[in-house]
Amino acid sequence: MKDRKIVSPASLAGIFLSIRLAVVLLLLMAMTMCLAYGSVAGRDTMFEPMNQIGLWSWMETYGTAHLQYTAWFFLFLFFAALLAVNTLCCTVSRLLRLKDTRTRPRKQRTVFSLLIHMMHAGMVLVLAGYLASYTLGQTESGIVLIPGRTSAVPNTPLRLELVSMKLPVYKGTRLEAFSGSVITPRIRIRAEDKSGKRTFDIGFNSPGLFRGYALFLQKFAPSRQGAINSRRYVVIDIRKDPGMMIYIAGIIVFVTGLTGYLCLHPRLRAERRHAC
Amino acid sequence: MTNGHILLLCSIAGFGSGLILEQMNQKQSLVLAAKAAGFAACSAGFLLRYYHAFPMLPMYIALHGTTCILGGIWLWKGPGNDTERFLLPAVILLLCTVQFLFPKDFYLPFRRSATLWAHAFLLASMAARAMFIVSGIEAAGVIRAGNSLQDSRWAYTYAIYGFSWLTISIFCGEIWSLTGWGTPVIWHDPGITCLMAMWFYWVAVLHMHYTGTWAARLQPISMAAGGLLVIVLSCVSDTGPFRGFLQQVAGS
Repeated sequence: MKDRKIVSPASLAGIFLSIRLAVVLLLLMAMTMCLAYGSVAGRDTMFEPMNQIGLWSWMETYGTAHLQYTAWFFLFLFFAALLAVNTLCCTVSRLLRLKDTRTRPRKQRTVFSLLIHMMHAGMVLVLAGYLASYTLGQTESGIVLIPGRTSAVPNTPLRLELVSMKLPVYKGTRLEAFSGSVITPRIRIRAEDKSGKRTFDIGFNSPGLFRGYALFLQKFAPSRQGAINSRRYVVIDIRKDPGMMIYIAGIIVFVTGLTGYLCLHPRLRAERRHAC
Repeated sequence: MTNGHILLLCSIAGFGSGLILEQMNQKQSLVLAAKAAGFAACSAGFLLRYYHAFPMLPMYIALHGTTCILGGIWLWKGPGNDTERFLLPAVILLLCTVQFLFPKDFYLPFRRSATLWAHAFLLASMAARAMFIVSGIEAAGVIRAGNSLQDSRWAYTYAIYGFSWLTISIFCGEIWSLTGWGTPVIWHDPGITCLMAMWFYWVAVLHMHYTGTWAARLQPISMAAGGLLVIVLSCVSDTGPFRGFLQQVAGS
């Protein structure tokens, strides 16, 4: 009878501690993203809803209905999950090795290693933040607001009122195609719930914040001077994103590690050259 | 033919003559003048497109900007080894020609791109692309000379700076996406998938180098392939339908 190989927890951990695995996964992810280009180009309506309905709902609907175009995304998720576990295992094991005074290198080298691990930890935080954002986030999209009328936002305690619209018209000649158009609208909104109310301005790239909800301007009208349809309205998206703080923390940790790395790397390199 | 296309044609002429003169071992001052003319025309074309879109972001301009930065590096570095002397200007010339024959400069900018994060995202990604391409060219020189990567001072320096710029670009894009759409990634933009492919590939290459994974001879090959990947992905995402040379000129 043939002996069956049993995968022990130790050997499984060994696989996840391998940097070769990280390199293979990164190359596979690069390949997946190259393939993704062909699937995404011209099919934005298939992928755009992911931002509105969340990851699970998207996978159950658009994701499985057009598998020939969305398969890359499932592959990407699988590789990203493996990479996150691999990065975490490698970082923890190397940090433990650094903690051991017998195997610890000299101070500058230790700081250098810590900076690299900071980048790894930042990456794991960013991936965890994305996961939280796409799975636990709440989105209410396409909320239309008309001046002077208060609207209740479904599935939230919020009530919103469009107070005023500042629509400065571009009058220059440099941006010919935008002559007579509004480029930077400022929309004043009053938000309220049971515990209070607040008035704030929103615009493109400047969302408004109220009780953990963020309000994003999607559309507005009239967007052009002398437009045929001169009705005034705005369309906004409302989001509650529990992952946002996690991936912003990840970005800060990663950038700090990278900056330290870039400062220290030339010095260490010069020292090594000098020693040679 | 628009002013931008005329300037692109001038940059092709400048960079092309620089390449020919350098290959013919002509006077350095002559080569430098040709290079400088190509660089000036290329940069003027880039600034012109930016001028007509600012404060919004000009669409599909990353390839143009990358070519300008490559032109600047060629001008600054001077003649390197034989491979660099040919490959760097040849790549610059190729990118200029591709942009001229397959223009994608007819899209209007969009309102949501009028933010500092969008500009930082674009400019950092252009710097990253240029550095990866130069790193790939340096690695090709190493392969041709039969040396190891340790002999090349620049290959890894450019790779590290390329990685840093691309990371900054991706994070700036993430913040732009967060403030503009409320999500950290815009999955329906094919350009983003290209940037992510580059990032993952070069992170793999840097891991290969720093951890000594796989044979040493594979490292310059992977870097040269990375340079090629960046060129292909940049061309794929930033070029439009073919417009022949005559069609372009006749359009004037």
